[in-house]
Amino acid sequence: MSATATTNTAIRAQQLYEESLDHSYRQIDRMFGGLLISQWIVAIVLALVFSPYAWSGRVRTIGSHVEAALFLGALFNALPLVLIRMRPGWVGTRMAIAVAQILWSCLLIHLTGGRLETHFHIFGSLAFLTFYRDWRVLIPATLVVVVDHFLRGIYWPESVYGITNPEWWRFLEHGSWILFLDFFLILACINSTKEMREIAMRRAETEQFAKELEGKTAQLSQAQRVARMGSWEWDMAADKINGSDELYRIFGINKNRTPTINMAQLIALIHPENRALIQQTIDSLRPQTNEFVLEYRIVLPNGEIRQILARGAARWGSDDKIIGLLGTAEDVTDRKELEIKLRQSEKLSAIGQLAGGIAHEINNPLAVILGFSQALDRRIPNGDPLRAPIEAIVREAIRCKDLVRELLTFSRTESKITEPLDLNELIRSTLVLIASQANMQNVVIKTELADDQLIFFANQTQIQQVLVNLSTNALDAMKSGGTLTFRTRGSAQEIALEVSDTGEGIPEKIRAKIFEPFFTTKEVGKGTGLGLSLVYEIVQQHRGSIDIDSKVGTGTIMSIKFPTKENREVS
Amino acid sequence: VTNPKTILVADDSIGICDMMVYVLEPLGFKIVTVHSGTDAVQAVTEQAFDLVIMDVHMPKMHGPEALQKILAIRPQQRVLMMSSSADSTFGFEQRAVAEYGAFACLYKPIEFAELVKTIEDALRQRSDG
Repeated sequence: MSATATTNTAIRAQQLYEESLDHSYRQIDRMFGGLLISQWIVAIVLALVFSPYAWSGRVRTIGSHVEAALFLGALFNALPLVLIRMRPGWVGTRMAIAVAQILWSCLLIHLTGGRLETHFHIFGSLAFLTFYRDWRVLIPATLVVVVDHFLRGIYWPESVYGITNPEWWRFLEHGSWILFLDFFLILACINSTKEMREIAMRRAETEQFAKELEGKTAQLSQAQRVARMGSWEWDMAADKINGSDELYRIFGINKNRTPTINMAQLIALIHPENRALIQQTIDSLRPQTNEFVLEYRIVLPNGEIRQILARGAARWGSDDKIIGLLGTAEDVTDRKELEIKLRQSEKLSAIGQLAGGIAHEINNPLAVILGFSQALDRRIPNGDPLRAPIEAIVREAIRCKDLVRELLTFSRTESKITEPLDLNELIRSTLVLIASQANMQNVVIKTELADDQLIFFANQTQIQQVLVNLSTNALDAMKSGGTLTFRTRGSAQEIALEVSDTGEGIPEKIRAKIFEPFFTTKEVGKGTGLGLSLVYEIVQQHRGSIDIDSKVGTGTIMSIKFPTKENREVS
Repeated sequence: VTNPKTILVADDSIGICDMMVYVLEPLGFKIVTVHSGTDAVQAVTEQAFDLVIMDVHMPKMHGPEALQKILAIRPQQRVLMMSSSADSTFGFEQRAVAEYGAFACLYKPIEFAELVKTIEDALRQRSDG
């Protein structure tokens, strides 16, 4: 515990101690209240039944005992009873009670004609007063006894000692025995308060530990949340998995509804394809190779699939059998997606570098082939049998030229200059380029553009390439007509573009591949397979994002978002 | 018959030079070919050409340097640069016109129509200017 915590604990301990003392004072005040009233009743009965003849010094007189019990009792009880009601727990209340209680002892001794046995009432009263654990109450109590015995020993000796001529020092003898008792009672008070202090201290420490534990638990829980990593422990015998809050959150379990789960319930959340893997991993554990690292997918209740990285270790019983497992589970879905994107990006830039390296070697011979063949093409008259082969050479050379040029885009060596552009304006200028092809294919072009200008920093050539490539792909998907729609909207942070077609759609199984270079569904010679990977690359370079929403037979929506904040350089 | 326009083609690739002759002579141009930057500078020093078409990547003296030397000798000379790659080692291709004073920069392989149009533009501007 820190110094502050120690001080706080001490303060809290004092507070708890005072609280429990006060509680006990009030409780004992109430008990004495009851006792005072009971003694009053007993005294009256005693006076009526056993000693109706009063002791007045040495003379018995009828009636005065009853009066003494009634009126003296009322007199003794009045102040303490009022204080118990008005000021419970107060030190004055205790003192008043102590005086009254001992006066009762004296009255009862008187009423029983100074019987020796009634003197024991004093001892009982003192013992009871010790319940307060406040030794100070014994002072007035002792003084009352001594004074009472002294005075009555002189004036009415029979009422206190039961004999007519006791020795003058008899009150001292009584007083000594009471002091003898007081000594032990005071010790008891001191010991008892010391114990109470210790109990209070322990309670305060427990409170402090609980508070610290709560803080540590919250910290751990928060750390797990930030790390998206949950922890768990499986007790094999009880088949109970004790998971952290974050574990439950990662697995989509409502902890309130399902406080504990068993292994079968956990396995049920794991993707069916990965379930065998879990069992294999558990089976492969040996005391020497105790730890495991494992990746699997889980299916959330809403159907979402998340990627989990689990690390753990087994706990072994005495006979080398697993008695439990414990470990962590981390949601690595986002990281995995980033890795895939990064790998894709790396692949593209590798192609770019390769293309950049060989472009010079290819372009020179290609220039010779294209130049000669185009010149030849112009010189060979129509109908000449050489016309067709020459035209083929020209066509294929141009195809090679386009392919090399597209590959070069990946080398990122083209102009990287960005400028503020209006997306809507770019779309309008792109529409001119694709209008005739759309018309030929019976495709209607619709635009739903944001009213305002959508300004973002980008490279004009590259963004135009994105628009042309997306349009061309959309048109290729609508060979027998359809609608091509451009939608834009903007916010302070980003601008969004949607290009949707009513074409054949992209089957689920190839959706992940369409951004890969050289992947094409078009027939040989029709597509390079670079169009969409180029779109992907350009969007990445502009720190944008791209999403596909496609239904086979219904159409495809390509959604692209670009940040609006300034990109001076395309990365 | 008017005097044919003369064009100097400088490229280390003999194939490119032969191709240029084959493409441009039928259009009435007189073509002289050289295969290095130093030869190009030498040729321009000795003789006036209506147009110089020069490769960026050449041995001995590369295109940008030859361009500067040629323009130093003949400040009004029209020069068309050709690049065989987009790998702008010194970013030359992007600055050839604005900073180096070339008339244009074309990328190989150059299609017939583009080549002819650019040559015509260059020569027209020369006669205008």
